[in-house]
Amino acid sequence: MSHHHTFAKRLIAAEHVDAKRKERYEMEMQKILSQTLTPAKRIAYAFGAVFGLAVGVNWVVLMVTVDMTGEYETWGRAVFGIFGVLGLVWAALAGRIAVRGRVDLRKDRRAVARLVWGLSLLIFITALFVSGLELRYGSGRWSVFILVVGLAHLLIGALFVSRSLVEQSELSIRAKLLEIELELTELNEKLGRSLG
Amino acid sequence: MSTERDRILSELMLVRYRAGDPSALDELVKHWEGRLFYYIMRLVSNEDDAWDALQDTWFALARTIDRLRDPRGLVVWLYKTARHKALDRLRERYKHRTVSVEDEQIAEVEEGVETFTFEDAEQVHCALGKISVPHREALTLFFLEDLSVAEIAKVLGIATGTVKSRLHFARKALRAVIEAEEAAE
Repeated sequence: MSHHHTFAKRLIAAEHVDAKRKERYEMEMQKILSQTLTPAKRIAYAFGAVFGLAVGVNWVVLMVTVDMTGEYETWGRAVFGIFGVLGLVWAALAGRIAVRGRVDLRKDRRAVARLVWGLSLLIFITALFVSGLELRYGSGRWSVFILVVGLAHLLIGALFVSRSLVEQSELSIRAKLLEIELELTELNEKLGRSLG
Repeated sequence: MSTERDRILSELMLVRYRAGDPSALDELVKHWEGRLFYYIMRLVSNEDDAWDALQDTWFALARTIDRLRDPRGLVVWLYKTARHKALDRLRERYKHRTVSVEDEQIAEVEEGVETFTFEDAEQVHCALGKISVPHREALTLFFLEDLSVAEIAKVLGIATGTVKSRLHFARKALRAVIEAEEAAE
């Protein structure tokens, strides 16, 4: 430890602070550090949860009640059901954040990435399915367009998920490198002290 | 603790936070708040304003932490932001007066930074309050030893030569205050 750093520590210790003021600051800091959502953001998440619930219930109701017969009935109902489940999962996620009042950086981000990927994949499969139907029973004019829309969704989903994965792996590699660098610096300091 | 170790540790905390570890921001705050508070106090001289400015600094960090371009420059960023927030508090308090910490005649000096020889931290702490704000600010940053002269220049928004000159005259002023106090005793 250098002379200056010891001096810096003594200098900081010479600063006398008012305990009540410091306590008030610490309480305010807790709000910042716990990533507490602002009332507006909390309302936005609550609104998102209600929207997800409405959409989810709507798809589930459609799955059960829609008048669908023929060879694709099971497939159609299954797609409606999966859309319903995704809507309900989103509602649960947004609702949990709204009730908790803060975003969990690790778990919530991962859940959102998975949800986006699931939705993109489902839209793509649906687009493939509808495109095939259009080709078989319709004029076939729209089938390419539907397929392109489906592919675009899949691409956006893949980009989102891969960006999130790349970012996370870059960060963990950087963290490992910094840990090594830190250990080396500490070792160097110890060596310097024992030699000096 | 060495400056290099501080720097690596701070970057590590920042990276851990970005990777999803919320407690890393808490550690970062705990690591720097004492030094930043000391620096801010030398600028605003009012404890309420100092706590508020420090809080504003952390709030700014929480808002920009995911977009911070150069994690290696975090320490400079922290001091620079703390300075801005402290000056904002001063401006608010003295709305009808011009607030400036650059209002001093600065002479260029050729020599490098002299070796620091003050020993009594309590005495230096008291004497710092009696010298001009630009001198006090430069000297405080130097004493806290988190930044190089070039980095102090970045924080203050002035040339490196001006920092050296300011440190030279600040040390003289501080020594004069301490000597005057010792003579009076």
